[in-house]
Amino acid sequence: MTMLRRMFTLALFLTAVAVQAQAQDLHYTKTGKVYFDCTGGVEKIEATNKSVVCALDTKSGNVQFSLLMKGFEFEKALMMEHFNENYVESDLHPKAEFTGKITNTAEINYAKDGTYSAKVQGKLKIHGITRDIATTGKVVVQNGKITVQAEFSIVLEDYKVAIPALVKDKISKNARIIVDCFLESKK
Amino acid sequence: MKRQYLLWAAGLLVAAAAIYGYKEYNRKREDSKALEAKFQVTANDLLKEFAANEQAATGKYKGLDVILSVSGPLKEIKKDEKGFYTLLLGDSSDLSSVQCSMDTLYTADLSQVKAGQSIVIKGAFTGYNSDITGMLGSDIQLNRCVLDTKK
Repeated sequence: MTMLRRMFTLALFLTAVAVQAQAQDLHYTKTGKVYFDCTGGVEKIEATNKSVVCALDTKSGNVQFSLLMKGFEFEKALMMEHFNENYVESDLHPKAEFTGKITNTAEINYAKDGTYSAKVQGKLKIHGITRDIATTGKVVVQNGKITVQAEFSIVLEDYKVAIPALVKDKISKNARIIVDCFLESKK
Repeated sequence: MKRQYLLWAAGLLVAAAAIYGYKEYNRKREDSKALEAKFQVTANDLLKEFAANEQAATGKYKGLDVILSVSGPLKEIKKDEKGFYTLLLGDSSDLSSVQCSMDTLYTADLSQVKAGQSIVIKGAFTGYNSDITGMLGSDIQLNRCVLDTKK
């Protein structure tokens, strides 16, 4: 009986340690920033989303992003309406998501201040279409806090975002995307 | 004579269309404080509604600039690394919140409130971001939020 109780206590202790370790490896934010630029002509076509959820497991290198398309803020109201209603159809496809991995996470010392190059691979879902993407981003460690940054381009046609012929000179075929997420550790 | 009138009328029409087009093209979004809330709801009821049936709730609040007035306990006032404020409404024991990204024009109003207080916030509904890790909670997001002082 005593043996059984000891084993049970040990199992409980190990589970607690495992959960704790898992939580310590998880860094996240719910107020990450994603900016995009589709300027094709003179007029700037750009928007920022300030409520991006990002989660990074520093041990496995697994990284996830999730944002709501209606959360992109534009300077002009008409541009925001066209973006949501005609281009990304945000009522049908409310979210954009990325699920992937920092493949060289072993080369990054998350405990030491510095700027590290991060090779990222994964699946990006926009407008209901999922595609593989790969890019090189940055992991910045400063005073124990981690910031993940990336800049890459996507081809709008790949995600079935159609641009009418009438405005094709104004809107770029590619969207330049900048990701900037300042993370906190999950306690 | 009649032709001259017609020309004038056509000219006026073209000018009116040009003014309308110019104004529409440069239209800014309306002042958040002036917007009327389409729905009034408590933070907990809203979270429960989405947790129970995300699809139905998303359908109910669909559209652009759907303004919600949400009441509930203020869990936390967060200031991020860029200086933007986000308010979290809901039970402090719950990982999920109504996450309100504050309108930068009205952040000075935040001196009137503090965590633990029961408040009312008005903002544009942008959606439900369900938990991606199983450890962070699912949130309802509102944009361009202001304190709703109209009771």
